[in-house]
Amino acid sequence: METQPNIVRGSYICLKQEKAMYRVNHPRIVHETIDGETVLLDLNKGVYFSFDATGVVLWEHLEKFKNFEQLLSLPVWEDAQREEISRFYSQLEDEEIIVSDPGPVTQEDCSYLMEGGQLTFTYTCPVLNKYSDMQDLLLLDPIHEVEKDQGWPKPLNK
Amino acid sequence: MAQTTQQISRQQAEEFPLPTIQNTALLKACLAPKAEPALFSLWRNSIDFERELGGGAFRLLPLLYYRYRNICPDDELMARLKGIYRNSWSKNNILIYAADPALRILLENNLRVILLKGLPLALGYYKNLALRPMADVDLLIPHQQREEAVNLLVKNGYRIKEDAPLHYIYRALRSVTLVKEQIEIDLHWSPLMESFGLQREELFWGHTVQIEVGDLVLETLDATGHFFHTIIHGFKRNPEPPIRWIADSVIIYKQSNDIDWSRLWHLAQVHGVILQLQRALQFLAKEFSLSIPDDFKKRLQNYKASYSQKLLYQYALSDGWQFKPPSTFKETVRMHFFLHLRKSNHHPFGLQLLFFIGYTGQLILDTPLFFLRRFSTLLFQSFKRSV
Repeated sequence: METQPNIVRGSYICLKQEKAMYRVNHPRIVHETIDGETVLLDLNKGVYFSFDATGVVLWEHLEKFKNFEQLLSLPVWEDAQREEISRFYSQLEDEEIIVSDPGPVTQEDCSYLMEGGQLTFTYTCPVLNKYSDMQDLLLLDPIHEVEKDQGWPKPLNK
Repeated sequence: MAQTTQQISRQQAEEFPLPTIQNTALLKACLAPKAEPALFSLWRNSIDFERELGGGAFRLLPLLYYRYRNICPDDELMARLKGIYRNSWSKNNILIYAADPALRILLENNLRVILLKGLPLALGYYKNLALRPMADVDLLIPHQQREEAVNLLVKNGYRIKEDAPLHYIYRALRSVTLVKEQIEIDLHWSPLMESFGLQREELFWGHTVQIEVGDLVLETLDATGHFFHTIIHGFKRNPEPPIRWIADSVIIYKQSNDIDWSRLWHLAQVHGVILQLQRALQFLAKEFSLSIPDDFKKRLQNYKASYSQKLLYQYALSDGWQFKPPSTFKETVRMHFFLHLRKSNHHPFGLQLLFFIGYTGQLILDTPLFFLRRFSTLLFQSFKRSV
């Protein structure tokens, strides 16, 4: 049983699609953002994911816009940030949370992410948390068998 | 003067569907027009979260979190409440995903399907899948299509959960539970345990609204139908503290603002459950400020229930319908008597007794082996007890 979140940290990987047009893999993936955290379920595989902070900003961008390259081309990113964002999207793609969108390349306005040459949010490295075994997770008592300061699905560290 | 056992039993039966002080505090925190820190604190101070919560209260915690996440963000329970919210969201999504093939099978075979209880309430009234935890999916199908629906699902890998022949289930019960892997589907041909009969079921079928579940378009009850069904279904003895009917009915009332009171009266009258409605609405009006029209209140006050209806009311509150299988011959007869009584609770009681003999005889003739097995088990249990 994999109960600890598996923080996926790959090396810098270019996204598989040249066009870099992506969409959320509905209806297989369901997601909700609440209180600064996005939670996702892969209903086919029974896998639970979550991310917060910059991950949520990137996710909300992805829900509205498909063009990943255009996001990366914004002049506000530092090189290291571009790499981290690219890696994050790559992880989402590897986990089949997002899939290539076959539609035409669209020109999208990403300018809302910056103001006066600065990001409109505080950047932190986006981290995808992964919990692989939903059946076991669902058996956890969400009051007594979880970390008090994190809650379900983080199991109590005995 | 000390109360007799009978008095205590009657008093418990009268009070049972109403919540404890702790659960009332929780309900008020969840349902008050405005979420206020004082309401949250009142509940927090009334319970020991680590020990005594109970299943009924647990099911309200996603709603509690949702309302107070920005009002009491620093409370030490908030992280676990959020976890319970996540947990409920995950379980409900998995449930819908697992139920999808069964819903498709029924729709593709041109069967009418009405969604009951949790799923339509979560989507249509709570408007957030996480806020209304569910354990199963409840469907209402037309009486005439029940056998076809069961056969279709069985053919597609579902198994019948009840340990009884289908003949018996169709004749004596009002639903069957079908199970496949982790999903349970309750297939009802009558929406209420308290009363059923073809004419009464049709009162729901004529007043449905559409509801989308993923890419499927299904039917569900209208607001009045849900309000009625939630109250009558919930206002009975239950192994869990029965408080969810209160949250559901208040949410339906507030979200819809469209209760058709004359239809509600008609539904309650035809189903013979005015007593339940009367007690439940009194409570909701007092504790949650539901505004009930004056003429409706007068009709409730002036209603004279029949003896059968009073018996059914007491039975629902004291013994419950289904949660404790009868363990003696007397209890078995009693259960079957009430099963019979609810089908035709408008007839005079004397006539009911006569009908019951015919009903029982027919039931035994239809499923002799099942009854033989049941009676042997009861005899064996009785023998064990006496030893």
